Amino acid sequence: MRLARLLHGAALVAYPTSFRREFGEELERIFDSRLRDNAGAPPVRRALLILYLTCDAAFSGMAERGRVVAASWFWPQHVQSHQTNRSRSMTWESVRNDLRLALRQCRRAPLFAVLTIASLALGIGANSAMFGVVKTVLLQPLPYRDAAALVMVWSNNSKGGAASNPVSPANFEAFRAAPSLIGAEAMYSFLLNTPLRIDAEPEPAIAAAVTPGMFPLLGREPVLGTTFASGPAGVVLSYGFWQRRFGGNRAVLGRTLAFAGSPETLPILGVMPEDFTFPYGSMLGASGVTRSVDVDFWMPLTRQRDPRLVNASGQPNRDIHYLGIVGRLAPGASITTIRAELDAIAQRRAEEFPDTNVGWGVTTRPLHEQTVGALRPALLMLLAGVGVVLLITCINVANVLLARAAGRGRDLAIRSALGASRRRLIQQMLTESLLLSVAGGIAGLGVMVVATRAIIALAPADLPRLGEVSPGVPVALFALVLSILTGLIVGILPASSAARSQAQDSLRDGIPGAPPCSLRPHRRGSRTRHDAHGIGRIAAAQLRLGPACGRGISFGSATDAADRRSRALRCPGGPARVLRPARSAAARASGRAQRWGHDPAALGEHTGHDQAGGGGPADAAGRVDGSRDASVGLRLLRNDADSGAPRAHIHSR
Amino acid sequence: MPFRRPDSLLPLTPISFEILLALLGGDRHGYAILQAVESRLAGALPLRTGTMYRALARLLEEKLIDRAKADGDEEDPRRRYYRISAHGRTVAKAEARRLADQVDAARAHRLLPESRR
Repeated sequence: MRLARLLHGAALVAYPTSFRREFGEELERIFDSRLRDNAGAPPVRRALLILYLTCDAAFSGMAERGRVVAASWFWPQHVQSHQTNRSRSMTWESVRNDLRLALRQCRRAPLFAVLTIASLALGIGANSAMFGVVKTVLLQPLPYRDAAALVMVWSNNSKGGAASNPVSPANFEAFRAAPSLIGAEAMYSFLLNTPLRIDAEPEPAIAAAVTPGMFPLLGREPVLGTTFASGPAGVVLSYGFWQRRFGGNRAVLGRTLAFAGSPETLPILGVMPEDFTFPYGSMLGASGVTRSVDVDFWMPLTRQRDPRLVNASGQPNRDIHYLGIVGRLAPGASITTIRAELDAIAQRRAEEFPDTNVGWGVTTRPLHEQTVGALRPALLMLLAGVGVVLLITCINVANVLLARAAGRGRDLAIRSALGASRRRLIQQMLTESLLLSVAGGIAGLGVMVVATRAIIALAPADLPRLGEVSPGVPVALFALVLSILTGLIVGILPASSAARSQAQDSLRDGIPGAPPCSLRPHRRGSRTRHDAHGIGRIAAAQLRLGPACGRGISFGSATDAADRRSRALRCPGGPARVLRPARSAAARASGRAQRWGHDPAALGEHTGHDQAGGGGPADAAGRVDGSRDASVGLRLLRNDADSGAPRAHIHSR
Repeated sequence: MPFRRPDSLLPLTPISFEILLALLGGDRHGYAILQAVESRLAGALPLRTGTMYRALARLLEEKLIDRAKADGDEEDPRRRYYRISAHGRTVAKAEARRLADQVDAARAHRLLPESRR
């Protein structure tokens, strides 16, 4: 329930903050009410309901966030409420356009794209594989019912310095009296090498002797047959042994197993599920026979079968410590209370039996900690290590993207001059980085599968739970989220740089012979820095359509009238003429032209409308008449060729 | 924000209209609205909590509904109640009329049997 609430709460983050503030509590209350109304439903149905409600919260939140973002990006505040539908369609259109542009950029520099995607794939794949291992080993509960309440009880041999020492049968009987421990009749001995004879053939096998109460305590049912919990004595096979030795034959039930060197035989009662492992190697203690083999079958640990359980007088043995004990905490009990109770029992027994029990305390640990606790620091270190590798990859990719953004300053400046907002430019840059990172994430899925297999193959065999690791949907989702985060991280710097760059500087920097900006002198050798890290002093007026467009483009035309870059504004027929903004005073234009070494007369006269910008010379190229230049979004609507006075409207998209 | 003309808000989304219908029966909190709509539709229109709250937010923005005091809710006094506004009632009426016109048109084209009025 807590986890479900946590999940749902995390999904609510998808909503915009204001929405969450307004309705977050109500949404959480409804989530609780839904779960309460379905309290009696089967667990699978409840799990599906939780998944459904969580996904609903996440997707609705994203949709709401998309609506808010779309409304604020594309429409001024005063028209937002009337334009909601249009703005939403504009969003998808703009994203599509940005994606198309990003793909074009990749096609233009395929080597860069491939190398970037490959390095991101390695980083994301390695991280996802490591996350898969950490999730399975550390985060996933053990494959038992209500595994969080299971505890492992050891004897603490303070004389020998062994805190996790096996327990003697007599101490086990005493520990069962602890009120906070229920189901503690379950215990197991260490793994036994128990050769079998199957069809008169010798068969090496590993057995674990467990008390009949162990299966009910762990709460797992066999996939085939039954256990010896309540029925007659027999053996229960592990899934692996059943498949390996009997080919998964269901007729195996009822067959008897003969033990090599012993007249005893036991019938096969059942087969446990594939994911059932007990005990894990780390539950065997330091003196376990082996910690790296899997159990082939379980057989009952009873006084009849194991004479060590009692001494010569028929009392539980106090001298031999060879049992592992697993118990379950009573409802409401904590690990602290059970520790206190068991310590008190151990102390009492030390007073009662000073010859055998002095110096023997009790160590109690949650079963999960006992199983994987020793691995935790190493796994977290490894996860942090691959995280750092991904971070380094991000920094490298961000650097390369930054350099590329600097090289594209002129493109962005033109878009900016034509009215593209800073957010719009950021969106474009982020789309590009996200495209690369998501492609890296998809390729990283392949890396993840290979890396996971490599980790399992190369890891020491006694590492617990490694066999349960498999790259599933949660790990793939992690890879996807990681790739999106990576895209945002590597894209945010180039995006903010693009948004901060000054349109007029960028435009002028691309033009040979242009004078340096009076406000920001251009230093030789610092171009990248200048472009990428320039402190934004973009006046709002410069980003507005008319003046900015006029100023930006007139720089180009004035400095190099024959510059091919300005051919988009050439008009057919007539002498060279340049359009200037209406608000530019003739004297100002003249002064600027003189300063740049041009004859003011050559600039022509202003014939445009108020919002028209300056253009290149009209040299009869006739390329833009009635057409649209896709890159800058300009269209010449009307051209008075006869009068030799081109009139232009420039529209911003 | 001034009220917008009812016609300019039409057509309402099916969810918004259902919420207004549910609130015509009295003030309700979010979960009660959800249950009322679900029981009326009996699964004909899939109603998700998130979708409903987004619609509620729009209706509040357009002032078709208001927040109401949660007097007498002993189960959970923190619950927020919603009430249909006079403007909301007008818009719901206009939407109902619009839908009725559509149904009449469908009847005229024999998509539906003649009404037994």
